[in-house]
Amino acid sequence: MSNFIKVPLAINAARSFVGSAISVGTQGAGYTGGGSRVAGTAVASGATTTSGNGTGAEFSVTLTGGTFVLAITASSNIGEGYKVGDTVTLASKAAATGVTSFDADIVFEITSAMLIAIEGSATNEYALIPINNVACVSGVSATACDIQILENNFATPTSGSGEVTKYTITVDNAPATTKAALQADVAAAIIKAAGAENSQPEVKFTSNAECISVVLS
Amino acid sequence: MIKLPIISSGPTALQPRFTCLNAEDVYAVSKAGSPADVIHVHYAKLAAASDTAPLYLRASIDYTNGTSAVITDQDIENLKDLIKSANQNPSSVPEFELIGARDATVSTITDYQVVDVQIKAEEPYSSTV
Repeated sequence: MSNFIKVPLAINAARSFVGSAISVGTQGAGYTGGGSRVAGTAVASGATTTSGNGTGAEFSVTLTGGTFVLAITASSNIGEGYKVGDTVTLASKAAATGVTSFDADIVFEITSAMLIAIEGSATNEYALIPINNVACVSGVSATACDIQILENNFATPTSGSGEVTKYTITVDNAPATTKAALQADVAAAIIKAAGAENSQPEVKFTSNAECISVVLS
Repeated sequence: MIKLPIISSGPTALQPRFTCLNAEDVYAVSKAGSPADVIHVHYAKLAAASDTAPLYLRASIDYTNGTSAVITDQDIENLKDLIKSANQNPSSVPEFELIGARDATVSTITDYQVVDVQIKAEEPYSSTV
């Protein structure tokens, strides 16, 4: 029987906004505001307040058929730490010739479609990874580490350059952990499983980092 | 399986946490780098019982932190012995530590801790255990 480790998947991880446009005029109960509005060219607006811990998101706001459409202004402005159900406020924008304006704040509640996808859900709380064929745990960054497998994943192996099969575990950057801590967290579970046949130890992430995905490639 | 201390992973440099490395299917261990800061662990593994040729893989344990070589010939021999021991006791996960770590100070101990470990494909290594 194989030994496994369990990687807890965050059900509502704090994370970033998607890079694609978000329509907030039809978001139901969570949406209010805008007041008197004038269509025009896009106007930039940072997320000024939020009910959660999210920070850093900045949108360009336009009006399409009376509906506000928000687009992240740059890939570096997707923010971090936002959760489904948090409330975000965009401050009102004064009228200016040719530019989109609204004289009351836009307030909307974050839905899952607005944030980057995560693997976890109420019915998918863990990823199981067999450890019998694990070669090593390699650090990638403060938000990712690889469990490398003793299997090839290359067309033409050349010395020291062929990639092997691996599981990539990705966590959100808020709450933050470190590359070394993430590597050690995952290795600790594998070491525990290797020393105890038929056990299924769970990975305990430093700082309660939240796992977004586990991908085999 | 063996475990290796990782640099900057614990509450202090003297209390490192660990990464792990498979000790099965190893046929050679060698040192590399100039100065010698990398240990190569060479694997030959049959992907399936019906295969006639094994996969050749190489784990690179990187100690490149300080400016001087930290890996000695005796370290290689010690790691070979530890791998043999780990295979004789499958549920054990012994720790591998470089010889120099025993005499290291608080300020130099990190030179003897692993920066990273990576495994890649390779062509067969010429030496055997």
